[in-house]
Amino acid sequence: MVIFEEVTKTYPKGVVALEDVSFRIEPGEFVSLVGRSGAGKSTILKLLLRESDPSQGKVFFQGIDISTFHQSELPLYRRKVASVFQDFKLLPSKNVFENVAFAMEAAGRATREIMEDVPQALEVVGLMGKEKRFPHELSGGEKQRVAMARALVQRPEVLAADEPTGNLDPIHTWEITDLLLKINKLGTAIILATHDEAVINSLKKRVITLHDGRVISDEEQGKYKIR
Amino acid sequence: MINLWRIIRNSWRNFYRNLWLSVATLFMMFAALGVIGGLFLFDASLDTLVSGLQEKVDVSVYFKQDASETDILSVKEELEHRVEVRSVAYISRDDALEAFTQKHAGNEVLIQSLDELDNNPLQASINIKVHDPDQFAAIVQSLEASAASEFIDDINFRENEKVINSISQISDNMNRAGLLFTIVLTALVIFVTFNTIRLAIFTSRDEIHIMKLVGGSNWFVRTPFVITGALYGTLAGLIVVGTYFGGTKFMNSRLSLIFADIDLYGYLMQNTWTFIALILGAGISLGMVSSWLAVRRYLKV
Repeated sequence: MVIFEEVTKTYPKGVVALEDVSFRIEPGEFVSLVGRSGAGKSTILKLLLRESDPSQGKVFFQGIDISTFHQSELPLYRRKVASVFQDFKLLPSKNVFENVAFAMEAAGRATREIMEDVPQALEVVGLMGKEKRFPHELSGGEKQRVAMARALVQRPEVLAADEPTGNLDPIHTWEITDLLLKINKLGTAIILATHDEAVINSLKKRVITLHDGRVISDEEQGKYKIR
Repeated sequence: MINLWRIIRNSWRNFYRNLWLSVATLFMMFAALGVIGGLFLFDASLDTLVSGLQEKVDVSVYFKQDASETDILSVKEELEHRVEVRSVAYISRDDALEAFTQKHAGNEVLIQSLDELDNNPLQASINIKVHDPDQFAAIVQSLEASAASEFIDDINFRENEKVINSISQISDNMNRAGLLFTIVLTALVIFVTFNTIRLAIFTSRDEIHIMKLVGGSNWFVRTPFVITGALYGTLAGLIVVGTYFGGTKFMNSRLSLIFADIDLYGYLMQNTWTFIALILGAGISLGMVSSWLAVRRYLKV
């Protein structure tokens, strides 16, 4: 479903973020991208979301080169490829309910649907009763769960998670990891970028390991092996 | 339709959840629109001042004692047909005498010496006013060249020519300076408003980024900001309109002592809708266009 084909990304001043990276991800798969800071994990997710374009190579989604999408087609694409981030990226001026509802409003979904789906998603992530809170009134783990609820209501094909547990303590880390597995079971492919050894080793899912912008291993049921 | 309603709701939330920022932006807009309202009144006052000045300029044609009234009236009629002439007033010898005696009623010597004379020593005259003082020269020339010149004794244009020319120059300069002033201040107002709104939206750049990342279309992200901009313009505009009506009414009695010709409140009452349309129109369009431009640079994600 997602294919990276010989992708290279160079930033100005010749900094190479990715070099000749190729892999494919099937529908419903759970893949972890592992590597140190600067190994290229975030760059891969940015390219996938088309926040930036590859310098060389191509990224395909459902068989289509995503660089061919017109600006006006991007919103639709980004509803199929949802994302959560280390810094949560919640809208500070909107409360929990509105933050989740916003993604559906942007997609032009009916109010009735929103009133059904948002509470359901908040139920899944365990935030019922906190709908009226604003992001600054929530803990880190709760914020990340709002972000995941927001991704859920989009019913995405792929969920790209960039260090979602990077700012969280171990207990919240497990909660979020469990949630990712739960969402994966509902049929959404997950791409998890992380450098959390414990998380990787407990998942027992496919692991793509990156080092200095290159893929150095790609294993089913992989382990954390950066030393 | 659903989207439109959501957008309006989002705009309102933008406004009141960032209340302090909204109030600050509103205040800047208020100041900017206040300047525009001030310019409106300034230009009107300038017009009154300049036309008042021009109205004071006239030329009198004095006729010989033996000129018949019919001849004088035919000259008057001829002048009245010219487009550049604003008004022509005929002052007969009797009128002139009456005006003279009234004017010098306190001056015994003058009145007595007048009484000694057998007949009225004063001349009949016509008084010409034009739309633009520049036009006097041509009128005077044609009078001097016409058949009527034979019973014209004197035209006081030549003596007054310098004064007339300098008044005409002063009013031209005032108009030009007024226009320049208006243009410069308007440019300044546009610049300040645009930057104020840009700052207000700068604080929302992360928000815009996130909206784009969760699949908001440009239209859906941008429109609430544009509507909030229109809201700033409307509110600031209404306050400015209220302030000007209240302010000029309050100041009216005080100001009229200094500038007898200028009745700002009366002028506003006469041009109520033009003024409201100008202020609200300027406020809303400035708010919307500035917001539209300011959001644009954050939409490229």
